[in-house]
Amino acid sequence: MVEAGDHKDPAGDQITPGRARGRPYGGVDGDLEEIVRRGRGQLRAWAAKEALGKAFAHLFPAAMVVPCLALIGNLIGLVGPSLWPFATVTTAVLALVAPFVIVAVYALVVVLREKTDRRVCLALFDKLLDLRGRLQAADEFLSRGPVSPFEHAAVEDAGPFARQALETELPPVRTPPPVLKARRWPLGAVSVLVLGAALLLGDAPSLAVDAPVALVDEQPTELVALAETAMEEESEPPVPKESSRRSLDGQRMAAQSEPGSEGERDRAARSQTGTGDTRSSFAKSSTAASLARQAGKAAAGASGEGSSKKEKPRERPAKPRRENPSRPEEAKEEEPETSKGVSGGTGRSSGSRTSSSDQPPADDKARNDEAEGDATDDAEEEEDEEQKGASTSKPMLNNRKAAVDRSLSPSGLSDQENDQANGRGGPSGLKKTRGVAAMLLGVPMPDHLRGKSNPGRIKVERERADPEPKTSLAADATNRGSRQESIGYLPHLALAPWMQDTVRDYFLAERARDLAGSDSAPTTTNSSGGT
Amino acid sequence: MTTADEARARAAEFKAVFAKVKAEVGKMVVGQEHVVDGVLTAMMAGGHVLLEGVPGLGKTLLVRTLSEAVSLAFSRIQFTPDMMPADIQGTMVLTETAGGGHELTFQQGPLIANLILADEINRATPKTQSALLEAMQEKQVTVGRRTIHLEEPYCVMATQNPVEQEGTYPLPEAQLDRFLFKLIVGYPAESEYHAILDRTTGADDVDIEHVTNGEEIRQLRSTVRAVAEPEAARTFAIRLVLATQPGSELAPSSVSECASLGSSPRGVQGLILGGKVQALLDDRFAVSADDIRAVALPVLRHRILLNFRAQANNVSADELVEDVLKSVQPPHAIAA
Repeated sequence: MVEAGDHKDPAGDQITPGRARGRPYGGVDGDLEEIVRRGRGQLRAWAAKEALGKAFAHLFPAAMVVPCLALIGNLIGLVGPSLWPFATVTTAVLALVAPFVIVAVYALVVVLREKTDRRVCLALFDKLLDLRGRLQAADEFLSRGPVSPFEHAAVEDAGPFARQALETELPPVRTPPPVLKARRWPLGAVSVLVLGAALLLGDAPSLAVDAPVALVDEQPTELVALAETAMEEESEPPVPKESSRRSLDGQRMAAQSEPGSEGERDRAARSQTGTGDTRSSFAKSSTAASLARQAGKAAAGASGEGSSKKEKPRERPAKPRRENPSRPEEAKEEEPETSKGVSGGTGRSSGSRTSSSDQPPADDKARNDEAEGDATDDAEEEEDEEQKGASTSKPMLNNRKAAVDRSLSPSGLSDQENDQANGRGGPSGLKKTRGVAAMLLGVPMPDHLRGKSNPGRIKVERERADPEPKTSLAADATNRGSRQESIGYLPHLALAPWMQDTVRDYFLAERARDLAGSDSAPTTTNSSGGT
Repeated sequence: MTTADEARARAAEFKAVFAKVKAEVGKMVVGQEHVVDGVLTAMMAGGHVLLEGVPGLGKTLLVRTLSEAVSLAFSRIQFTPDMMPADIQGTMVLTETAGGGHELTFQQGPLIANLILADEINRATPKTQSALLEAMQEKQVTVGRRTIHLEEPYCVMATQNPVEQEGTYPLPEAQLDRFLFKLIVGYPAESEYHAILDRTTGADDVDIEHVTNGEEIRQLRSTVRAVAEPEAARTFAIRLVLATQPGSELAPSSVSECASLGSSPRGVQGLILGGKVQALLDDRFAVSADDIRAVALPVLRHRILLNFRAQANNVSADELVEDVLKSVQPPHAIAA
């Protein structure tokens, strides 16, 4: 066995320890640096191959990216400007190339993010040459400066092994070949199908080419005029004048009398929804509430006609059947009012609410009543109702706060500030909890318990008294007599099974012996008697 | 002589003395190489050894032979259930003086020596077993108001029989933890029986020579403690000990299920000290993770307390240590 201190390098040559090379520790530090460099390169190559293998396994999912993007872009292009700018050939090329690019980029990112520790590089050679951590230990002692004699010796001891490590060729990096998992093969077929669909959609003509152009070309002249009129009337008192209403009605009539007025109203309504600021500015004004509401109603009615053609087809044919031609404007005004909770609400209130569910039930009921009145064709009643609503209830709707939030979401979940918080449990940020109130008892409970009245103060009095001895007679002892009856069940020790068998055998044997004796005795007697 | 040369000289001396003692013990004890190595390693590292094996395997012979080889004050204590602490520590006895008077003097017990053979230690009551605690850890014995510091090197080598458990008292955890190694003495191989017969049934007597002494062993112990310990080896030892503790993040599932107690910090000390001896024996000047791994089983096996599930499923502490060694990897280790 090699004695400590008599070190030989792997070639068998005697190694002079210490500073034989003129450098501290024989240049171990430089050798270690070179080992670290080689090890780092090896580990990076290893990591790169491993990352490529892992990324290659995701090739089919990566192949889905471009076809999906193309499909989505072309689907959007059906109703608007296409978001997929590439042609068919380019798309196909991209779909083929992109997966490999994604895989390569992924592997590159993994390699660049790989932080190879210096000690890991040394551990690679320690393990490869079975050096039992000599290189790692020497590097650690060198980095902090060897202190003890054994640390100096450990550094010097690592010198020949470091040179051996430098001369050792690292084995080629071998990683298992990348495998495309069978369960991901269908993704390839799916990507091809998606790509085909995307290419077909890319060649298909757009379905919504004219509509946007028409919207852009046509100006919502009548609504703009209404808005301007409403702005002019802002300074007027809140009660609408008949003259202004007639002027508005006249304008509306003029608009309706034009050919294709209905389609124009639709387009005007669409454009009006795009200019919601105008309507909201109307709604903000409480003084010109009625005019603004009418303008909003007109816009909303127009949009309602356009949007709810399919939803409420029965209401639209009912309008031309009105027999009172003197008030066509009333019917036109009433039509959006009855058919539109959505747009009507939008026009009257802040303009931000678009859902009919936001309307309070009372408002819906009133609107339903209006619809019934419309069905009875009572124009006078409608007029009165309209005026009443316009003058009393609807201006109040403009100032109406948001409905009280009845949701039972736990408090504290939404800590966002809400401008509409009214301090009444509305949609404020923190106070949303209704759980406590809902859990209160519905049955009134008495808040006190009946009890006994206090007995009051207890008074204890002590009286001095001398003890008096009491005489007692001694009892004479009597004879209890003897017991005549059974004393009852007396438990006995339970015997073990083997002991029970032994006792049973013993008594059986005794009995057999007795029987044998009794049998033999008469015989003997008989025999003797006989003889 | 440079500092490195000094270290080399000390390491060479250690290895030479170790080899000589081992050769002397080998004259009497046949086979059981790992047991002999373990006993010598524990003695050089400054620890105590618990030898476990069935009767007749040479446990007592090994320790008695070692005491002859190292020329240390040796005493043997045969533990019995009626033994009292005073029987091993010593007690005050009334003696007659030269002038005809009487005085109380302290009569030392067998515990006060250099090498103690505590034979069948599990036959003594816990009261008597506890008398060893102070001697093993603090290297001193306290009787009444008298405290006797034990001379270095001090090494307790205890034996116990794992089979005859009737009338025995299992060692408490505090006692077990004080043993650096627990070595399992197994049956010899077939080839070793021939040598055993030759040495024990023949006419020739085997003479054991003193190859070292207490002073030299003290120097060798300081040599062991001077061995460098890199951060990687130290971290590996700590992780191994943590992995024996159920509930630890490093503990494998088998440890969490079958162990109720893990190793204490004494386990880390044992791993490092045992690893240093291994490094010196391997011509190295720094401990490596392989050295720690080599001594992990004798250091950790008696520090893991098995629970009922382990006993019901016949899971041994050795299996748990093997699982720990598989699950814990040295720092900066790379896969093959």
